[in-house]
Amino acid sequence: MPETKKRDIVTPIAVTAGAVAVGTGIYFYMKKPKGVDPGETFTVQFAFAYNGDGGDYFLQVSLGHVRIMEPFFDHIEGLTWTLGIQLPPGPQDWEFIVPCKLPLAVATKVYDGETLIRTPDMDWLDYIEDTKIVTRGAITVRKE
Amino acid sequence: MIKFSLKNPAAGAYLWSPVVYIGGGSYYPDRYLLLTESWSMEIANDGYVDFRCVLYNWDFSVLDKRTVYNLFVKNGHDYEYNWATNTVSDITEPTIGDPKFRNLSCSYRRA
Repeated sequence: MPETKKRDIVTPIAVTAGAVAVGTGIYFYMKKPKGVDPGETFTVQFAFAYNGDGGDYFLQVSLGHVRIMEPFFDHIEGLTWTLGIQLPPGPQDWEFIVPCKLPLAVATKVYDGETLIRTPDMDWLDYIEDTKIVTRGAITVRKE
Repeated sequence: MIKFSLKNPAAGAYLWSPVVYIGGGSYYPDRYLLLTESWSMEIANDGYVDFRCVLYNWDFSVLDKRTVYNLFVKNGHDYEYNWATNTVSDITEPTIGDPKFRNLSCSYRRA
């Protein structure tokens, strides 16, 4: 009597189920509007090369709006975050993550972002040269 | 922040209430790049004067490090729109760019 081959039906079912699960996840992820909800946290990654003598610095993130005709950034009260860091003497490459928790009452719209590095004794609008970056449309605060 | 080093300051000591304009290569500030807020400073009648000029919300990327910029200072004692001809000084070495930090990049992410 010839030996009958037993069909493996478990593997195809598992693969299919896995594919369906992944597809469903991608569908719902894509369906979810891009952006951050009020009250949620977004992060900003600072990456730079440091060649100073070491010291204390603030990494600062602000949301606001860039004026169309002028190189000025309009800040919004309550939408500035800072992270204090201490750097040893360089040279060395660094990466830091600044967590930014949005207030619940923040207006839902697209915000421009301003990032800068300053020392603790500098005014919050001042910054070390060449360390200010303005990003148009940095964060979208979406409706919940 | 931008730091200017002034040379050949105005003859005679004045108490200034200057407004500062920066322009590239032009004697008259008709094509100025920026306007600072007023402040007071004493300019001696000889030697060099160093002062810090803190400019908020200014995008320094528009300044070219290779360009020699002129600093125009309006004498507070003169007529409001009369630019004092003896107050023009050169910005010898504008401090643009801090070598301590290089290649800064920032990326925004949803947490």
